[in-house]
Amino acid sequence: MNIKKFLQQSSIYNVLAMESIISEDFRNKLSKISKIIITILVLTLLFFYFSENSVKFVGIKNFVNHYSLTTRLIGLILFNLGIYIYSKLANFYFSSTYYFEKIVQNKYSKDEFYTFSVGRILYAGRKTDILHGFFNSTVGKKILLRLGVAKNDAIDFINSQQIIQNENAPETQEKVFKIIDIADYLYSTKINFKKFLNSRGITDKELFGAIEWTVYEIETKEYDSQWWRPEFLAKIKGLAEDWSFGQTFLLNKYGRNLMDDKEVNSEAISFSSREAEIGQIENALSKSSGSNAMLVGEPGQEKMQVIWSMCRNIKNDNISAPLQGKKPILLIANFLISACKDKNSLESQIIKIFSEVVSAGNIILVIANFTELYKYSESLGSDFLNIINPFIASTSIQVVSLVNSSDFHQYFENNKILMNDFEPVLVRSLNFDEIVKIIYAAALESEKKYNIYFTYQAIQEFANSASYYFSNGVSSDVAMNILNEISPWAIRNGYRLVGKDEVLEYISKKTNIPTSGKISENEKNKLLNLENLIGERVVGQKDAIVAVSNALRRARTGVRNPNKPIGSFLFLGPTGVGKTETAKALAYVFFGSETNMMRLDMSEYQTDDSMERLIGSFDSGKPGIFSSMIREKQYGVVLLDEFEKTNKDVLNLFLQILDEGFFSDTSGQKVSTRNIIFIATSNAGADTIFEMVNAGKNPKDAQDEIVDEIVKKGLFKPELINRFDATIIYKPLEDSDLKQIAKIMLEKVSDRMIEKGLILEISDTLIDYVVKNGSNKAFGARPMNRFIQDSIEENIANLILKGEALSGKTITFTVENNILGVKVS
Amino acid sequence: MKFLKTFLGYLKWHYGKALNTTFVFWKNILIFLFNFFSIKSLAGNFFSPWKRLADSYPKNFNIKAYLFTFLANSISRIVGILMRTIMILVGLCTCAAYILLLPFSLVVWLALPILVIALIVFGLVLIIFS
Repeated sequence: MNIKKFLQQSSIYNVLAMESIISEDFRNKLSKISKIIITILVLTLLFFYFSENSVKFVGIKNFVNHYSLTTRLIGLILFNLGIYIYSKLANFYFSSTYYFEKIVQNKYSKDEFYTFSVGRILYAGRKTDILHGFFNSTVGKKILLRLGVAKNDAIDFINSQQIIQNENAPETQEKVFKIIDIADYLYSTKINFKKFLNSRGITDKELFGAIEWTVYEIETKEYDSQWWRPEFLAKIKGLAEDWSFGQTFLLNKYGRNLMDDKEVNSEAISFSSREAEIGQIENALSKSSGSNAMLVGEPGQEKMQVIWSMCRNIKNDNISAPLQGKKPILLIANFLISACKDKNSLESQIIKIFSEVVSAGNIILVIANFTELYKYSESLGSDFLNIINPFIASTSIQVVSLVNSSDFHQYFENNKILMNDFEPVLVRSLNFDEIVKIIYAAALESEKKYNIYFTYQAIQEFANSASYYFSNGVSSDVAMNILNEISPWAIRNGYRLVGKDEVLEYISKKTNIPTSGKISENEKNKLLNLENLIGERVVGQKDAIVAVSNALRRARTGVRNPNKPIGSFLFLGPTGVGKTETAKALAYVFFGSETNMMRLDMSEYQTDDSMERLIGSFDSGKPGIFSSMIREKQYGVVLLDEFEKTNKDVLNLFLQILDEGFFSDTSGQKVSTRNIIFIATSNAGADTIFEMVNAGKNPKDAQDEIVDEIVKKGLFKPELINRFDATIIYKPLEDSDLKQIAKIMLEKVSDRMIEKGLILEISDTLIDYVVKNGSNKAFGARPMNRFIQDSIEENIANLILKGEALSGKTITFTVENNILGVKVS
Repeated sequence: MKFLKTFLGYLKWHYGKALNTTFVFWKNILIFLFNFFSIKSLAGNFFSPWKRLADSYPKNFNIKAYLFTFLANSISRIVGILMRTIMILVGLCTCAAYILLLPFSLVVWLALPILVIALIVFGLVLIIFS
């Protein structure tokens, strides 16, 4: 069936034809202008009428009469009124054929085969083809703009495309043809269209997402304009609604009416993914006695979001009978706590508040900080749960308390009496797609407020970054916070169009994490030269450095798995061969400073309380060393020294961290380790490595052999070793390596001397001396530093004290029969 | 031809689907008026005390205190009844006025397409020929 025939099947065709004569935009302008003209004309007419009897305006009167202006004015008013009514009628006509895909599931009539948006696209393409229709229709243009496609690019592309003559309308299994079907059809059949999008980094998922958002935007606007719908009329508060219910003076002091919150009254109808939770609350509050609910969820705003959604449903009268017309009031526990300093006043206030709620009769009491209130009253020696028990067990009150999951398990779950009266309702954390959807409405509001424009990719990035770069808090909260903060920032920096790159730039500024948006020239050079940069500091471990460098380049360019740490390495090898130095060098090169290396000596975590010390104690409430460390610095290198020495529980913890990129501390909060490079070092297998080197083999080639031996010894489980991105073998240092290290160390001393105006001459004999006396097989180059301190630096210090080494002098060390001498010249 | 077809399509909508919608619209507004004046809830609680302002009766029988409470509560009830009566009457009058207007607005709706043309034509006539 060709497009035109397909279009004519539905009664929408007439509306589309009308639109092609007078577009929606034109109609809206027409109604606005005619309204203004009518107002002005009526005012002028009134002026003529009242000035008729006044002597002052005789001149005007004569003028008006001469040209019979009054009659003409009336004619003009009538004419404009006709235009105004016409434009309004046309808009009604258009509105009533609008098919709501997202907001209300329309019951479509038999002759509706396609949605209005589809009609617009096909109508625009009825003389060309569907692709041209998509690019030339207002809906299509809007979608392309949301995808960040520049107007001119779109025009250039579509002008270069050949028109397919007599293209047939695509077919669908659904009863009604939706815009997503058109997009699917175009994306899968028009290769050039797909290429056009892909070359701009746009995937099909993003195309469909942008469509969903655009449809949502159009529908919200359309839906909100239909003020006569019952759900909108229900929002207007009745005149005598409160007359039959009691007053709540005390509760007004300690709380607020949630119906007035801006989240409840926000114009945009949010995609509520909270129907399940609201249903459970409705059930709990509808019970004949003990009609209370306890919302249990992660710390953050998610629980309140459920409450707000519930309030919105009450307002729209879209809720079950026991909640209809109810007034949810939030008791702000902190107000109560700060007002009541002793047991008696707290108890009496609580009893008064609950009595008020009972006598008022139309209140749902929402207690946000239930745990805080509970703990505070316990600390005053008062039995909070017992005080409220008679109320919550009665038939005449509805209470919703909000508690964090960990508190729920710790304090309330096992309290049988409390759980009899409070029905626990678990608040689920939103998944990625749901977070994207709740941002739709908020982003549109922000656009209006700040006069900026978000692309769909930006919206996606909000949700993405929330879980990726921020380890604290619930993702949906974080995503909303980023959105709220980014708009003023964008204005300050002169961005009107906020795309993915701008979002990443903002996050990078906020967190100091180089997000994988644009890789700067400087960083690009660093990444390409990683081997050399690390090699300047780590001597003799070429194979190890290459392996680490490759892994890091993968991470930074975004090829890595985003749900894992940036990198994780197990460094095996004897002591003092450069394992720690590699970690330091990485922190310096990759994260800008050695201070971005965090070190945990795992040999300190061998005892049974190790887990508690690392991730916090449940009993004492003390935060853990490791969880605090990661929270403070979400981005850097974590060095786990002597990894094999820690206990089994800790090893199991790392099994999860390396695999999933996060762990939960004792308070149940997730800590993200996705922006961390983990380096575990161990000198397990060092003996084998030595033996191999002595036998003239390269330990790198015998990696499997070494790992096998470690597993056999039971130091690490094979699954743990497999979790690391790479196991890297460090070989013992050769003499030439040691010499180079000695030289580097001596140069460091020399640099410090230069600051004092002294010159330290570094000769080969000195280097040989340091290597010979400062290093040994078992500890590699590690003792060398100490040796330099004890011999070279001490000698220099003595010279300075004696007053021999003055500014401008040169210090030369001599070695004879392995005895160190020093000269100043 | 296209223009005529579009116009006929419009007329079909105006006297068909749209007319149905108009009835729904009227119903919505009437329900809204009922709710706005809280007529149902006021009638349901017609004899309750004003904003639930009522004392509970003393537990030990004390004729003086008992009578005092009874008097206070009665006043609260009388105030309540009075206020509710006024509000219900105002509400019912508004609804009645609204219902009386409906036939008129039906005529207006039916005449609208002709009215639009008439307004434009008549307006032009007045502008040009006066």
